[in-house]
Amino acid sequence: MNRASRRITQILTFIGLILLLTGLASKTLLVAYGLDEAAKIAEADNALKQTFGVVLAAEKEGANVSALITKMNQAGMLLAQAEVDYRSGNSEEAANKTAQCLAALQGVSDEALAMKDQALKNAQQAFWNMITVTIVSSIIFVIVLVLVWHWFSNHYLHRLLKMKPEAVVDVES
Amino acid sequence: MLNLEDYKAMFIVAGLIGVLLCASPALSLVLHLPMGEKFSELWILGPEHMAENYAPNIRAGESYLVYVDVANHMRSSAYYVVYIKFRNQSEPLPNSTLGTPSSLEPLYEYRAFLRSDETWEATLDFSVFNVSFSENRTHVGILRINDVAFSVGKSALWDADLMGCYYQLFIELWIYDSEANAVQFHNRSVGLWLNMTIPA
Repeated sequence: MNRASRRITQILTFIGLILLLTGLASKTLLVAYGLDEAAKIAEADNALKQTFGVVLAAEKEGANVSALITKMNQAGMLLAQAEVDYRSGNSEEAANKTAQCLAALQGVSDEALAMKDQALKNAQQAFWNMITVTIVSSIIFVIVLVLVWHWFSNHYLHRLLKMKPEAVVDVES
Repeated sequence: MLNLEDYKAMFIVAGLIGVLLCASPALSLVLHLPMGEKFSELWILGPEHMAENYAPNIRAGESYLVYVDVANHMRSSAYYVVYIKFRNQSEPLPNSTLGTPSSLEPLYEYRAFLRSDETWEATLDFSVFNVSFSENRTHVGILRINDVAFSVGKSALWDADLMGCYYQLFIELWIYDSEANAVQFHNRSVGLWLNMTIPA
């Protein structure tokens, strides 16, 4: 009897240890999973910021980034949902939304860079066109003004020479 | 009558003005005139899209709707993060003088990218659950925002001046700063005072 009770105690201790280890392992896994999720969300957050920086640079050069902003909004909405799901304890859904966010961001940076290059080329072309138009229009304006001045000064002198002193007119009359 | 030298001076002045006018489009590329102030707007509207009926008296289990709006006047596209936070009377609010946000953790958030002079709007649907009442205090267990439940566990004491147990659902506007490569508090916040009432 004494031996049997010792045996039962040993079995119970063993089961207790197994349960304790399983519990600890699952908790560690949960913590690791949670940390992993937080890291993934941070990665998506960083990707969103980096991509927006590129989009902003393209816009600064004069590119029309409306289509890119729509894509950014889609990715931003997914990241916000991922953050909210993570905070409310729904890690699985958070992981899903984070992955969707990263997928939505794919290609946006490249597109923005291509737009920026094109906008730079367009801006350069527009600049030289503007300089050419300015120089040509200024030269034409100055030439026209000089011609008008010549006509006006000749006309003025001609009128001046044709004038008769008022005193002479008085004597004649 | 003006003499020829006066007319000559007039022509020279007209010539200079004309050349400047011809060159003005090119000059605008080089000279940048000062423009207006850069700013953002944050506001909330009631369920009828008006600045009224914000549901100051709320009951457990009932759903309330407000609209959150942001307008971008930063003269370029902007990336905004809108944080929704919940507090009782004793918890910290954002400090507009120092430009610091509330130290409370956000519950819900929105992220929006807006082009210059664009406005964004989102619905904010909220309800409270697990509400308990005692002599001079109320306790809110769960706050649900847009169908996501958050365990808040906040208590509010009876306010004799305002005649109620007040909580505040407040909204902070954050903006992405490209130089710092970080989302920072934009020193704009709005809030809704919510008086927890006993169901009839």
